[in-house]
Amino acid sequence: MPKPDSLQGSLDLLVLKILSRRPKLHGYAIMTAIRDFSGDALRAEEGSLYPALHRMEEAGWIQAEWIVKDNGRRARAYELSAAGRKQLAVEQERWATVTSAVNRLLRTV
Amino acid sequence: MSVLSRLRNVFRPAPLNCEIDEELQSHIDEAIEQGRDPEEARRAFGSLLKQREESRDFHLIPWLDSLRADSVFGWRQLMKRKITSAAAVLSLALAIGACTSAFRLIDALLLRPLPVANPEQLYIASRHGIGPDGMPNEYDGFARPSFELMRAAAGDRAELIAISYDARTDVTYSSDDKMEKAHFVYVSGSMFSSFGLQPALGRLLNAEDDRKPGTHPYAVISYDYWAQRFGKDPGVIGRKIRVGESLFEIVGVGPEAFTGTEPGTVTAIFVPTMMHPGALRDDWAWMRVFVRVRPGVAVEPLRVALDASARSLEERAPKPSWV
Repeated sequence: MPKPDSLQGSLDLLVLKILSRRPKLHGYAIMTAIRDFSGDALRAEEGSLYPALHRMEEAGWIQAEWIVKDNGRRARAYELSAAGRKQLAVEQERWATVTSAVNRLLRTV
Repeated sequence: MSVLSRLRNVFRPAPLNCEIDEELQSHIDEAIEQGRDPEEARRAFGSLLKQREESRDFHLIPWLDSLRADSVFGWRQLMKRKITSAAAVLSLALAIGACTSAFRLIDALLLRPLPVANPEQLYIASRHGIGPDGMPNEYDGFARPSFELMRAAAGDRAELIAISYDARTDVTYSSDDKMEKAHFVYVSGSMFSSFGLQPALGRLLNAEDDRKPGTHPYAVISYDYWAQRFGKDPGVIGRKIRVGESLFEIVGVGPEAFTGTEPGTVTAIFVPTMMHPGALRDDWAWMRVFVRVRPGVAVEPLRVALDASARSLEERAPKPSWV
């Protein structure tokens, strides 16, 4: 059983953040990066990752190009754009607001 | 992505589909390489087709794409059942055509006002009385002498215009002896000027053409007739028309919008009432009388005056005839 999508609205933030540190990642690499850096706690499902990538590409936050990997296979690699950088800041801000609000509620109730 | 590239993706979807498919496939290949179970890796994506649909919507204009897909589907369905489709299209076309022509008729008969100046001042005269069969009767025909009397009675309160019933008459042109039919009316000389009409070519009839019987054998043809019979030949001025025993000379062409006063027919030839064989007979009612009331004149007293004058003639006449 794959874990249910546990990212709940933070997928954009994670993808933008990963791409800001490591440009030119393709979809599979982004997926493994989310898994590995979260210590296997978070998992992006293919079914939501690719629509999210295409949506962000359309919004102009990330750009895609076809690259040939070391093993000779073609892959579509993504990179952050200037608008994406701004969006990352917005998403981080929003995430901070939401988590601190949730934490406050947990502490005070 | 620009609107243009979205549009291109709607109408040339193949490259976009290939690109999305290839990306997803390369993902699955890599997952399998990394030791994932091939079946499971494929399943993780769910339906590839659904995945593709979701992704491609970002790259095109979804409503336009649906419209395109629906049109293609509809066209294929039509092509599959050619005979049924043809029957449906044909019956729709017939129905639309029938409605259009019915409306054109209604438009011409009821909705379109006479293309003359100030149509709201225009009335038509008719008499209510007892007919030859003893039944109440309404009759709009007048003899030319009654028209003269009525014109005198109206004085400067109104302008009276006489127009004969439209008749489809045999006419010949001197150059060719072939007999042809044309809608033919006698009009009082002032008709064109009181309707405020301007000639398209040559001149129109005037009051002078309609003073003495048989002296002004001039004809004005309508614009439609000029276009259909003569191909808008300007050399039509001066040509002779023979109608029965009379010979008329064409002096002008009427304005394009004016097709005569008879609803539903296009009058071809207008000649002066004084050229009518019954111009002086008071027992031959062959014309309608239009009344153009001058602004500010009360209609009712005028009606009474006209009624009295027309009756006085009939009472004098030996035998009023209800043609």
